[in-house]
Amino acid sequence: MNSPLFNIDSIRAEFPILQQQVNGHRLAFLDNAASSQRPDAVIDAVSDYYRNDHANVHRGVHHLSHRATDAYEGAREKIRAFINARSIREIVFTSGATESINLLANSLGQTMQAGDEVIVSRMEHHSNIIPWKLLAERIGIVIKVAPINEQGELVLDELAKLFSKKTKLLAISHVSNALGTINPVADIVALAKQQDVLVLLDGAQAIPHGKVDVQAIDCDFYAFSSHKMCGPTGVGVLYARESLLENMPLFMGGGEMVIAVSFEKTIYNDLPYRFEAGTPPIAQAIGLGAAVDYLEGIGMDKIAAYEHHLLELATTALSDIEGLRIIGTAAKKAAVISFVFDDIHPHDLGTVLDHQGVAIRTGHHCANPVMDFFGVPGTARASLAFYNDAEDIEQLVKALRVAVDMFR
Amino acid sequence: MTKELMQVYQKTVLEHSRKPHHFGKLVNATHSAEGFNPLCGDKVTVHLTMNSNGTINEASHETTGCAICMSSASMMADAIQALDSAAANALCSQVHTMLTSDSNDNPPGMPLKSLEGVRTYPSRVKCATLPWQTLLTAMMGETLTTTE
Repeated sequence: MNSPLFNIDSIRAEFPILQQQVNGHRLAFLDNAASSQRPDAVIDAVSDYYRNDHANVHRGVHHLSHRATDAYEGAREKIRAFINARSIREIVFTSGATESINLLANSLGQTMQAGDEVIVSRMEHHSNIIPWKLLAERIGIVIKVAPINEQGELVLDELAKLFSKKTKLLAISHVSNALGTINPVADIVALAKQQDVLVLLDGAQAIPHGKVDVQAIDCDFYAFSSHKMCGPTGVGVLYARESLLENMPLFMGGGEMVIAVSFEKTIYNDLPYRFEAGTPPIAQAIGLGAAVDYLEGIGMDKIAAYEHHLLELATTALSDIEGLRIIGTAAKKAAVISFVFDDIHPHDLGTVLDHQGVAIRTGHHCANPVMDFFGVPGTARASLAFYNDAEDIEQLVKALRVAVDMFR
Repeated sequence: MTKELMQVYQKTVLEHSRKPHHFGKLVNATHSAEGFNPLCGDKVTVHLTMNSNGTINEASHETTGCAICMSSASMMADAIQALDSAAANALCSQVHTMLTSDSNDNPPGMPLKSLEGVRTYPSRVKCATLPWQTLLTAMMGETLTTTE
């Protein structure tokens, strides 16, 4: 689909990693939900920073420290605008979505007591289950699980029944990594607000695929990772509503998060810095800022529309393969297709596809409860990004037919 | 299909994976162990009837896993029927060396040797070793093992 609005060939040309052969074949990279690839703009931003500007941030009076600080804080402002937060005080840099959720569990957890309830859903990634389980083991909170249906959609009526006077938080994914389901997050937040319950959205799989507006959604917390949205690994974000963050107990201690320290008294830094102990991932945050510029240069709405087109193309093509069953058929889906064959194990598929230059993920996708629900040990998952094209899908289908011939 | 891939998914391997031998429970099992690969969800249960001097009178397995894991378990169950524990241990170590090193010394005989190609796929080696790890666990009188 080359058009003046979305020129896929020129987009692909900006991703150097895609210009290679794997096992003698053109690379069809369809494992974007695990981690995306980076355009030149992001690679250059990180490289330029290290070549020209690096020093520690918020510390030195010297020139490079100023430059590094300006670039780092500039990235924070880009991210604020990208998700439409009210203030940079609401943007906490972390190491990724996992740390963002752990930060919240450790901080907010200090305000909870035994018997308090956190609601999650059956479709969560382990990173939005284990931090709450740890809290349950440590202080005795109770985890309630919202069910999903056969299509892999949240059952909202059942979710609504889980709220009680003891519910402190609803922690739920915006988009499922294993199924592709896009949850109706604004409706879910409205439901929680009626019950006076805070909402954390795990946005790791949503943020690369369309416009996220935290004010429109009205969530209290939003967690995401840079590496799934064309940015560097090792950095992520916790968006937190300022009025809540202002009163949240501290998580990690160290430099950067304090203004003055004596053994008698500590004065903590302002928001968001008091949640960013230690030297932050400076280059990575700057790279994330470059990724935001890059994505906005294309346009999140155009990315969403193009990926939807790819998803339809891939769903139709895969459905033609005999014996292939798609797991996750929600009415609203991101471009993630999990599938199984009754008689071919996902790992065998993964190896045979890899031999034909096709990279997919196989296994449980860090979502064991989802696999248990559908009664499969794992799935094969093709996850698409805006730099994939129809040729990638053709290559996937061709490689799957080879695998089917081989194993039947 | 490339030569390397054909080396892994040989005809013998595919035949064993489609119709695994000695599959199922063992009524008089004296030793049983479960082996898990938590990364991929593969699960092998090995059942043995061993007599008092440690000879395996009968062996079976219940495997859920990929073709490599299934055929490795199937070939293993064929190979260990009526072996004494010293011979079974020696076979385990032959198979382990074949799958995890570059050594071509003292490989197991066919059909087990047909699993040799797996060693060129580091991400798949544990698929082939899990049944053997589970066998060793069962022979030691333990009931559970994992690859991680």
